[in-house]
Amino acid sequence: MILLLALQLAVGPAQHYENAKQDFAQHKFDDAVSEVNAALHESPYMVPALVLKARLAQFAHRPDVAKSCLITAVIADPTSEEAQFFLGVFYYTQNDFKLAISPLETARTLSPKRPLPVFYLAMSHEALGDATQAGELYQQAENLSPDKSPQSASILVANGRFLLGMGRYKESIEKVRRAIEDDPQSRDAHYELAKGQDGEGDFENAAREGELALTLPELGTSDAQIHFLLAKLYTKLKKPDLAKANMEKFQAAPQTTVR
Amino acid sequence: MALAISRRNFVTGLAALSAGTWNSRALPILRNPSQGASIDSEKLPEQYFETWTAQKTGITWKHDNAISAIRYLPESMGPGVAIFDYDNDGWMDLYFVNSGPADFFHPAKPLRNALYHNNRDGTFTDVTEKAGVAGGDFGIGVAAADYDGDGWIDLLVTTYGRMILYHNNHDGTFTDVTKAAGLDEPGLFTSAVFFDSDNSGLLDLFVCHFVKYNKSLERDCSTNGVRHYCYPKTFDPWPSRLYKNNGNGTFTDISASSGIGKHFGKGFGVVATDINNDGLLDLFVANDSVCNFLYLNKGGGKFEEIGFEAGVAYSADGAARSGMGVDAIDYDGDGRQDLFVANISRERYSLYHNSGDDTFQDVAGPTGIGMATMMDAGWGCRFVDFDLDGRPDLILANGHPDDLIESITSSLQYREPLLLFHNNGKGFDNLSARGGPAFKESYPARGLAVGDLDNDGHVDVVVGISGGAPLVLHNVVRNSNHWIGLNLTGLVVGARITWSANGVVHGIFKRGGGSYLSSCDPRDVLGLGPAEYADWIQVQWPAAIKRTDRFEHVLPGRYYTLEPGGKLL
Repeated sequence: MILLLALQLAVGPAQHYENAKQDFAQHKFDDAVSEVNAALHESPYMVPALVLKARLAQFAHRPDVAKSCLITAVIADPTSEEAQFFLGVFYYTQNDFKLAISPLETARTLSPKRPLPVFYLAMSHEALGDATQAGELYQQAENLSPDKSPQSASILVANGRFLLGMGRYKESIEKVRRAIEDDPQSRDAHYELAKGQDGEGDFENAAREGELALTLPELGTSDAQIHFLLAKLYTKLKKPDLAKANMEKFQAAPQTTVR
Repeated sequence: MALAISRRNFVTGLAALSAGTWNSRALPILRNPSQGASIDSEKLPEQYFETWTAQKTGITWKHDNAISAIRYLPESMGPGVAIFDYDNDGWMDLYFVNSGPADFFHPAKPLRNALYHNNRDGTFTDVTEKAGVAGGDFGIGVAAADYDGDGWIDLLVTTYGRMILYHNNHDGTFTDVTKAAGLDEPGLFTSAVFFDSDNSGLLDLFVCHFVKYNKSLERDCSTNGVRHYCYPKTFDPWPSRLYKNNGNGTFTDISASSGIGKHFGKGFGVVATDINNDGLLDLFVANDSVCNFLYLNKGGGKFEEIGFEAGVAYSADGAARSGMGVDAIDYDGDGRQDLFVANISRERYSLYHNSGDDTFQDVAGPTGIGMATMMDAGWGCRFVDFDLDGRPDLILANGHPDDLIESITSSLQYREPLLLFHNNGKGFDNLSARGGPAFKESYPARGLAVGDLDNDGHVDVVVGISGGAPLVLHNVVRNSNHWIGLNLTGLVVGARITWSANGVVHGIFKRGGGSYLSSCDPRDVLGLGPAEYADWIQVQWPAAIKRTDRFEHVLPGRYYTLEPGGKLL
């Protein structure tokens, strides 16, 4: 026992944090929690560890713990871009969009070339109904992500979805087409493209994109959402059997609400 | 997209019509949307409304929302308001609905609804006791209509518990005829609309039923140990009701045979309109947390629910929204009735443009309404032309249903501001900043009704406030636009009014119901823009009447009364 304690002390908070990071990356969440707690036991204001614990807490549906860790982190080091960013993301995921703005703005100031704070700022302003700000921020986030990656695809898809909601179908389609170039396996992108094509009256291609989206891994867009869209499209295409089949699948899924 | 065309372009649409002739089917209003409207709407009013305080109006009645520690669902729903003329003196009176005794609520002091008589000078006198319309149940909403065609407007009050049908006795008093009329049924009733469901010439009755509910079914929706009002998703849906008017003062429940009764919803708002211009009145019902219903009238007292096929049931992503208030209007002057739903925060409100093939497209985004309503929870809503430019504007009463929402999120508020949108012919401009002092405040607003309280041709607004005094907004727009008031008598829901001013044609379809829990002035104000007179006015009466009346060169600045085949009086 004494030997184990000595060993732990010898490891030190930095090593515990590194272990926790590795465990987190490998989805060994229980181990990650133990390691990060060990790190924080020895160094209670270790900002990276506080941020990691917050992220673990969010996975464990403990927003109270996550919030507490992130607030401690930004107090301990207000210049931590990571802490500011994740605090903003935390508020965003809690639908507390007004509170999300300030830490995300700070994160953007601290790390002006990083696209993610700008991206979350765009989504926060969109959620608050500020279309002008949101549009500008989406474009900035896009400009900060010149390399093709799943991240750049996500930004383009979100921008495309935003434009679609404004009825700007052509611009939306252009964004999500680029997203598909960046990440051909993005179900979200194919789904949004289908919606844009639906808006443009191109029902055949929209149905094709919808069917393709169904074959891709489900991360954001659910099967039910795609079946709903396909049911609408096949109704418009006067293919009642396909419309009915998709409608039945949509209705078989638990009904979702926006709220 | 312009709203109207010249007289010449319209003439083809009128070829089959002439004054005093009848048509068995309603004809669509033909207007060419590519033509520009001649009305200059650039000069927008500096201020739309002033607030008439209780001190000025004499309206001392206040709503009691019965708020409790348990947070029983019906507490969050009311109140409704009605603007109607109960004594046929030509001036709009006001009716307010209040809470009252229920299985979960035993008020310490008696609560009552209130009827206020319009004194014609901006003041009102409480005549509730004499009129006998105090209610006595847990009141929620109201619908005013002359259901028996005797020329006097009656009242239907919806409550948690039952409906109350007050028959107008023509002497300033009313009689509760609910039982005799066959409407004595239990439920949690919200909005209601009188309309002719089968072109029989009689006003039938549709009543929204919210969830299956009684005190024992209340849920514990606590956050951090504090009870909040439950999201309606936690309650079971229930069918709304359709009652056929038997023409002898009684109604028969035809929910089952009509097809209405097989659809379980959570109805909050309803509007009767004609989505396909076939002369049969359809119903659009806003449901909370389940899909909206669009009941297409198939004739013969049968309805088919086509909400999904029509594209008005769900959001674009297949999610049910929290539909509360509802309206129907031809906002873009293409001759087809569009639909509107006020949803809850983060859902955006919906403006469904009628594509002309029994389908709709949500254009809330492109018209500017979507983003402007992103953070609001909407209840009462009404399209009406506040500035008399001939285009219907939009007013919205908002407020989050959860009085403790601010303890959960900083982004939402229980009290929310009213919203005012000006119709610019292509979309809507948020002109709430010009709404007047009331638009700078926030309220837990619910029901909303519009009407001309002082007969000046400028439409005013009354808003029901949960747990507070009603808000009376007097329209103070004074521009160079002219107006004609039209008071159609008899069966009017389903009538189609068109008029031309300076060669520009406009139209109003007289929908039934709409808004939330409330009932509006049955008269219409026709905006002429700067025109000195209406070139012509045409009234295509509901299909049951089979008649169209037309009048040339009508002078502005006053109300005219018209019965089918009659003269403008």
